[in-house]
Amino acid sequence: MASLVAHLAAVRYLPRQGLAAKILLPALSLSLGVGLVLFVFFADKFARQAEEDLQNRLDSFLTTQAAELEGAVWEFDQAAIDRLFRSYALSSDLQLARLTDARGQVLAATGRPAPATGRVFAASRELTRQAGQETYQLGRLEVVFNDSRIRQGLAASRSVELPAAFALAVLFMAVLGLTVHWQVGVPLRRLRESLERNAATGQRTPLSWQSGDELGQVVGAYNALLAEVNQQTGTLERANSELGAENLQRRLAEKRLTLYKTMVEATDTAMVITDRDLRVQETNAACLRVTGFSAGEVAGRTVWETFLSDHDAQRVAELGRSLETGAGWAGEWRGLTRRGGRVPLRLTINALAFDGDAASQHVLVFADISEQKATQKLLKSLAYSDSLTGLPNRALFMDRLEREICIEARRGRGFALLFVDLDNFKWINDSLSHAVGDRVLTVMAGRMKACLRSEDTLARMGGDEFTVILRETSEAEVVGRVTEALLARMAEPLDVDGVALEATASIGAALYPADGGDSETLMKNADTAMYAAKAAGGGRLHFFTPVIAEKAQARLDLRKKLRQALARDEFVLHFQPIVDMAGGGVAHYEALVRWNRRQELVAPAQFIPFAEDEGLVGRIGRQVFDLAFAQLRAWDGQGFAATVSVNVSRDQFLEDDFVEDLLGRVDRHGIDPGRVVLEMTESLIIADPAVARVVLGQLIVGGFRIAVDDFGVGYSSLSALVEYPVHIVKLDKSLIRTLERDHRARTMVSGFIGLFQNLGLEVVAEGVETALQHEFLSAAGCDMAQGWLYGKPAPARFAPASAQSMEARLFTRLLREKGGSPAQ
Amino acid sequence: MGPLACCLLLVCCFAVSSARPVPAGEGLGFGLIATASPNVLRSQWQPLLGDMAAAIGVPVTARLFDDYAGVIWAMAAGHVQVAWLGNKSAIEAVDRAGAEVAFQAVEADGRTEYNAVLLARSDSGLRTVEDVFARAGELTYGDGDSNSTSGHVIPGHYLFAPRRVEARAVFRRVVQNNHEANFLGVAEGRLDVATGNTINLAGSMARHPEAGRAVAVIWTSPPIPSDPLVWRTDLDKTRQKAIRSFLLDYGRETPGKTPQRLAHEQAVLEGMNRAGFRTSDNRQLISVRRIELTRQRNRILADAGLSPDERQRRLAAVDAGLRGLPAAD
Repeated sequence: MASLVAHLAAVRYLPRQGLAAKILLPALSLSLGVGLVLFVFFADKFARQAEEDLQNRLDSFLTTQAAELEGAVWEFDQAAIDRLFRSYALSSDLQLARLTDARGQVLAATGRPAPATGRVFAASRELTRQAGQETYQLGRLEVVFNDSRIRQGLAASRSVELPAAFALAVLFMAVLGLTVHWQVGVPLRRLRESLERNAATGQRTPLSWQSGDELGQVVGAYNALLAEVNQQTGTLERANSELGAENLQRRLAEKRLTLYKTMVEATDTAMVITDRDLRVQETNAACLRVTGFSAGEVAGRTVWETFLSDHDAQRVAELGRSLETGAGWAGEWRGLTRRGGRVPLRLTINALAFDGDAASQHVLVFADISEQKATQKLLKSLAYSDSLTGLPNRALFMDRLEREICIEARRGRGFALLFVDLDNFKWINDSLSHAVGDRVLTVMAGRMKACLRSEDTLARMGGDEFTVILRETSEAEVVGRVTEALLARMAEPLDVDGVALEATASIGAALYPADGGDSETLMKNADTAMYAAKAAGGGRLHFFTPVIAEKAQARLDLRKKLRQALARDEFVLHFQPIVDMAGGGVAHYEALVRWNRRQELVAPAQFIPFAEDEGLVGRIGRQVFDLAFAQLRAWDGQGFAATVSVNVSRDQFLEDDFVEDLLGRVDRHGIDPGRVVLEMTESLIIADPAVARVVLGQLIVGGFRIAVDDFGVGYSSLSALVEYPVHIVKLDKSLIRTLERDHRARTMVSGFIGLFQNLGLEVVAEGVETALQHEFLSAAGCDMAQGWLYGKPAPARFAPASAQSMEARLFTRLLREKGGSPAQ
Repeated sequence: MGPLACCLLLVCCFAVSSARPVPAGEGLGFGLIATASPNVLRSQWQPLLGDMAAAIGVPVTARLFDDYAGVIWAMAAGHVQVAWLGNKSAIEAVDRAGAEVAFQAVEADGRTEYNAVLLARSDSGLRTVEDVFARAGELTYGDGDSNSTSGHVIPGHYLFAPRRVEARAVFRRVVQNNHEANFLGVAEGRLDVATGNTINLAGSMARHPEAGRAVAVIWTSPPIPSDPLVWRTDLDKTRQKAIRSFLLDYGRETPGKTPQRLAHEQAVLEGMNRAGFRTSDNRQLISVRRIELTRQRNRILADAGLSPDERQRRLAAVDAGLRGLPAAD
């Protein structure tokens, strides 16, 4: 109550204090007052509670101890009484305990001096014992408790609780104070500040506010008011200022437009603005200067009709697509002038889009780059030397050749043009490495240079081709001398990174003016001569002659025709039977390729070597495989089961994808690889043993059977047969042919047959033409034979019929030999 | 103990002076302690009390008490005028209930003393007191009432005090029973060793011959004066005289007593295992008083909880008590 009065007084004397203080003062007074009252109330309650507890303890003590003592008093057991009384000393509240007997005499007593303060609680109890019908008064137990101990406890707890309560009140005040400050004081201050600000300035900013309480609602109303005022007073100002700003911007824009216009007109870069379809709308001075058109001539027409060439329809379409996607385009383009001239342009096209719409216009920027092009060309031609060898390159050589022709046309002394080509360079490059190849080229260039005079020109045309101009040398004899030295020097062994190599060269020579009056003819003829030298085995010089030219022409023709033959499927297969000598049947056919050239069959010997040179043999070989496999299928359809041998050439065998391709074809035709024998020459296997072993292995895994063809000519290496996993050996016809007249050949052949059979190989004799040969081979135990005796190569359609007649023939012969009759 | 003893003495005096004298015309209360089963006791005593009533001309009511203290409180309250007690309880009765020793039982063999005994099963392997104490930690001990002379005081004095031990401290378990319960407890194996006395043992063995064969006496105490019979000092003198003449003559040949009467009386006494009664007084109690005071003295000495002053005071009181006793007779 007193605090309330004090608060009212404080309110009166603190009129200028903040809201926080005004709220806090009564709260503080109230909380302190209530706290004090509560504290006093509870302190009193606790004290009374404690007294009650003490009284209860006293009663309980009296009851239990009376019961305990009764037995001892009854039994006159003073010792037990003493023991119990001694235990009372442990009771902290006990001031006095006294046991008297029925006559009031003290039997036992204990206690401690009464403290100065504290209330005393006394109680007593009669001790009685019921025995029989009698009740005996045994005595009286008096107990006095003192509450000083609990008073001390209460005082001690008060001394803690009072400060704690006070601290709690202070904490409460602090929290309340902070809450009022943040929830009321600060928001009100913000509101006041906002009001002051908005009163002072023309621009009224609303007050941002998070809370939705009463203050929040007030602020909301205040903000609405501000908005209203702002709207009313601001509209006019805004209109004014907008107008002014617009005027200013327009003036600025006009000025900038003028500047841009000047800039666009002044620049050297041509600029054109077109619509979406590249129809010209605006051009600048540079554009007109480059193209020669006037502005009126191009306006409204598409760029393709005027200054851009649309000769490359594909590029035009690409450009169109690029622009449609909005990507723009940049690159070189052929420009056209009004007078029909061509101008290389560097062209950039960008789409112009306003306000996010699709592109409505395009800006073309271009420049004439003909000067740059010319410079580039010049720079290119200036690079005259070959980077590897340091020799003049083709450009320089051609220049020199032209000059030489000019000079000699006037002075009439003539000169020789040599074409030099390394014979086995391709092999070096492929089988060793390009690095080795480069080293070989460098060494060869050095050797050649050393053999030539300084006025002669040696150039590298590319690859392993070199050209030489021997100045003032028009006599074949002199040329022969020089080239002889050249060839000898080049043929010397060379050592590249520890690998000893030998490289020869083929040289073709053309003489000016005899073999040609212009550079082109001279070059061609020298080249032709060089090919002739190569065809003759390489490592030699060939002069150009008209005959060579004709041969070269023939080769060209043949090449062309072979290609046509491949394209037109002019190759056919003929099949030659291979008979089983023991069983007497036709086991097998060898497929032999024929070129059906204008209804005239060309034997393989006439085109296969050429095809090998020209790198066509692989393609022919694949066609042969297809034909053979297709034939096997066709025979299958006729119920004629046969197996086929196909010859594999060296180039074919060394192709990277040979096995893969072959397996693919077998698979495609649905042929069991076990029905296909691949015939290859011994030299093919021996030439590259490592590759051969791998490829043969793959073929055998693929299921093919391998035959070594033409055994008995060439190496006749027995170790190769042991080493490589082949199945069949075909004895060459040269061996068979001599059987009749040379007993050593007979010994050799029968020896081979026994030997190979012991190695687990089948033996086929080739070129069997006479009955004698047949009989010898049959007696020698040869497995199979092939030759005109049994059948010539014939088109496939004759094969089944010939097989049947053959079997009949062989059977009859067999009977005759054995001296029996069919009936037996 | 000095003041306390004085107090007790005063209480006794007060009790004596204030006890209401029993009028001559009223019946006589005769207190008995149930040392065996109450029925047995009553059947033993009832014939004697019936004869007594006839002789003194007032009804004699037998009042049996389970514990020794009960008879003393009843005597102090005047409910009982005459009581048959043990020596120890007689001391309490004299000190607290205004009683005096008037007679002493004469044992069946004519002796006026008997012995406390220690019993064990004959097949227990316990042959001597030494055996008992050697195995005390595993044995159950049947003690007597704490106011029983032969059941508690005498064994305490002769067996435990010299060894400075308490029964409760050394045995695995201690139970308190009357003599017959202890006897039966040993016989049935519930107790390993128990106290008793020669008179009760003889009675129990007569009643339970089967059990008697299983029980062996392993220790016998020095003689104890036979049980005293006390009466209140304020009992009417003529009645005292009548009782005295009745009891002293009972079972004895006197002039004028018919042989049938004598045979009846002797049969009654035989049922009680007694030969008769002879005159005695408080001096009978001296030896047991000495034992009891000695026991108290030992207790005081052993009590660690006492303050030195208090111990000194109590010892002085006990010593004064001892000094006040006449030399042992």
